[in-house]
Amino acid sequence: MIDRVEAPEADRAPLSVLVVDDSRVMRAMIIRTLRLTGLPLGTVHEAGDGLAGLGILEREPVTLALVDINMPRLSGLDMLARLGRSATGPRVIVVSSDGSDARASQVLAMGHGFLHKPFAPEDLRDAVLRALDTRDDDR
Amino acid sequence: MMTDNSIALRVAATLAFEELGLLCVGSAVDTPSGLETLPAVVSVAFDGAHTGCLTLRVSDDVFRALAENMLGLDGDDAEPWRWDALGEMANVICGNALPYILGTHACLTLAPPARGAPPASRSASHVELEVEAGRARILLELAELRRQ
Amino acid sequence: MAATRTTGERIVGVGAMCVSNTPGDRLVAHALGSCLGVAVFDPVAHVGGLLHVPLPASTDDRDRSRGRPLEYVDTGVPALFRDCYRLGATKARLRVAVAGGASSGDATADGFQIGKRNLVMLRKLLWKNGVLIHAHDVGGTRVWRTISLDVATGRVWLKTPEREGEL
Repeated sequence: MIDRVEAPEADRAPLSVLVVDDSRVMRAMIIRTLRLTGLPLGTVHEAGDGLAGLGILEREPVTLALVDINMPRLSGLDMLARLGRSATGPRVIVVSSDGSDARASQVLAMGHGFLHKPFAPEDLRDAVLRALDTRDDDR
Repeated sequence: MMTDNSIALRVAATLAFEELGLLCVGSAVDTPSGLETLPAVVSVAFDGAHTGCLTLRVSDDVFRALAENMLGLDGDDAEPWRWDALGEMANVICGNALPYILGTHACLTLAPPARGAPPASRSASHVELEVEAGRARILLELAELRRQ
Repeated sequence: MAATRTTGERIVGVGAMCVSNTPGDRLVAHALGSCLGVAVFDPVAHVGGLLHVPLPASTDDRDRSRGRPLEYVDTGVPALFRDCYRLGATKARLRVAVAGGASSGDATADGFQIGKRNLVMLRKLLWKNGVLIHAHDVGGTRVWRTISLDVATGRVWLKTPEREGEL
């Protein structure tokens, strides 16, 4: 398969990002990848579970959220269900090792992107660019 | 001889170690390595349509290399991240193996990884793999199908 | 060292590398099986390089690797980047394209899984050094790839027996 990505636009407004995953290592990997994409990053928030993630989303403007599914206190899907859909809400990419059709269908039905673990950093970059392009198209 | 479950564990572990851990996986090994006594072990319990637990145990060199590779760090800089990195590997192996074994429609919830391993039963599926110069052993305990 | 120069085409053989800032140069690596062709290009400095590398780790054979850094991913790729820097490229601007890393499909002959090991070593090295891959066509079984880099434009072309196109 031939894969190619276009360079991110330098004139985007800075992105405010939220990364929700109970693994510190995974959060660090995601954030490092985002920094390497060349996208203009503003504030990068982190949360270790869905409840903390929800708290951040309620207080802070977030452009892009990357959310794990299986987490303590509140799962990623329950967090997103409580958040609901909003035209001005963040673009969401669910990042999970769960490979079941059931989960993938749930995520897509909620209108979110899905990135399956394990992923190469380039896969994450491409998923983020697709999500942001979709957001731009919606405006 | 590898069972179907062992093959699924091998496939999922190979994917996780190579894509996420950036460590090449070689052959499955039959000869006991003494890995059972090493302390670098985590387990991931799961629940839902099925109940069980996946355990991942690795040799010391793999334990050290995982965090280094996943974060692009060297040596001691990676030390505070090692258990988390091993836990995330177990999580990814579990999430990828279970759809192969239980079907892609099975809805399961994975608990956060925990250090240590529950006692293993004789019916557990397992595989032990060469991982670069070290080894990894994956064990899967699967309870009987839960009645809905 | 690059071998043949014919009307701007510079063929990069196994265990060799070529770096250029000459518009009109086209760097080519043929018959990438398990080998990797790693092409880099800085669109501001107009510097490009291509490495044709067969083996993953110089530490696997220290005696042999001592005088042959371009035969190993872990020493060849840094050499490629360094030579590009000498011509004015920067790491932040270099775009990386990769082809190759196929397996032979024969479990006996491919016991060392060289193609896969090359890819994993490359990804580990690039990740550690904060470099993402811009484009790739890798892996598979019994796939023979040719990669070429046009130094004037930075465009990378990929060719296999079944298909060809820009990478």
